[in-house]
Amino acid sequence: MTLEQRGLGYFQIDVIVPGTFLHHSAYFSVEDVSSFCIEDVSLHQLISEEFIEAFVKKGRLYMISQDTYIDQHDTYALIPGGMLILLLNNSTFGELGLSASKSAYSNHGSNKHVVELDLTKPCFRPGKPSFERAKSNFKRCSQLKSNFLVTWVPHDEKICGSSIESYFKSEGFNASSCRLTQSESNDPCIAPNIAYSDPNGDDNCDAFSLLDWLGAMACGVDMYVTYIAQKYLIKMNLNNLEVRMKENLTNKTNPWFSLTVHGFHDSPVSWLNKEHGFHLHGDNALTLVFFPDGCCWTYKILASHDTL
Amino acid sequence: MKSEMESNGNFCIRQTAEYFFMKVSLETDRPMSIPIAMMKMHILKALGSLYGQVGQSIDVSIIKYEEASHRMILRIPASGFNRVWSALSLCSSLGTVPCVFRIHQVSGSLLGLSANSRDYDFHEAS
Repeated sequence: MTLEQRGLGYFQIDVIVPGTFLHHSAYFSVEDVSSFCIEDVSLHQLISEEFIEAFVKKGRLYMISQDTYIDQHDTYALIPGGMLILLLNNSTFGELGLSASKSAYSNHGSNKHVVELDLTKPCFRPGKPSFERAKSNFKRCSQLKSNFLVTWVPHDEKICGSSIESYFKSEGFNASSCRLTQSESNDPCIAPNIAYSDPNGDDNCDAFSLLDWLGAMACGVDMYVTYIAQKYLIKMNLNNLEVRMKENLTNKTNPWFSLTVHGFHDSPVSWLNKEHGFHLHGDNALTLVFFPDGCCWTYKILASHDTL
Repeated sequence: MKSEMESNGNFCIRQTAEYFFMKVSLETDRPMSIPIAMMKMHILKALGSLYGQVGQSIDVSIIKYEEASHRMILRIPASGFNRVWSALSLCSSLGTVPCVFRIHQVSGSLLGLSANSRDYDFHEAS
């Protein structure tokens, strides 16, 4: 399963590579990504037939509401596959009047309701009851609007991903490019010895100690180390990163590498589109540790209000 | 520790957090130099003032400390996590100096603290 298939968008990627020096620019480029912010988009504008046909059905579209906290506000996301997910407070849910399921954590103090609309369903088009009901209810609820972060990866490689930005601009919205940054550091450190078949750490470093080590590296904790290795911390949006990194491993230049993908803390869904919540914290990350033979360890770093 | 083999042959590792990690900063009303040992003592005092010796026995570790900004990462056992959070929240003075602990982020994993989408500025600098 590739990262693309695992779920929603992400805002930061950390790559930690022990061992041989490897210049990241050969493997990553920021230019192939088109992410931007649009302001004040009402939800009824996301279910217009023109938008669905041109973008939702013709690419992998990620949209997530910005500056909305999942434990306080209504939160919206449009995920690849054309699913529009709204995580609504009690009052908004009552006003909206669309069918919804209760949050899986309603017994734990959450008063949230989850509305899911599949925009790619054949019956979801103008003239059909489900479409007309959703459209009229979205128009009636004036508070159902937000700023959105948008990334679109078209199925057709000849189409430019930024055409969705032009679409929103032509509709009169303010659109601005997202800030993409990348950083790299080469700190001296002891790279732990790990083996895929030995996650319990009988002869090597165990899987949980490795996770702590990766966390300490990512947070810049001083570990009083003596050996030399390299680490790369890269903040950017990427497509097909996993494939490129696996190609690197097949060259046997590194014993292993780790790839951590940080999802949005305020996303209504986490990996594999399972419900995500924010209780003490909103952890929503996935760490993959790849080994040369194509195997990997998977760490799911999730909050307590997350469905596994 | 619990590791499971996924259908594709990969190990999927799940664990209930034994420790919580907390990103905290101390703000005072005047510039002060506080070494890491003083900071640890101050945290223990805050725990002691609210929970007595039981609070002070919680194994809180400062695993990263920036003396200039008084920002730190604490590692706290899950069993004492609520007590540490409340003691820091209610602490209002460092000796005679008014102060406040700001809790920026909490995570069940150190790796989770390396990124925070709530703090991330997505807008390009104009």
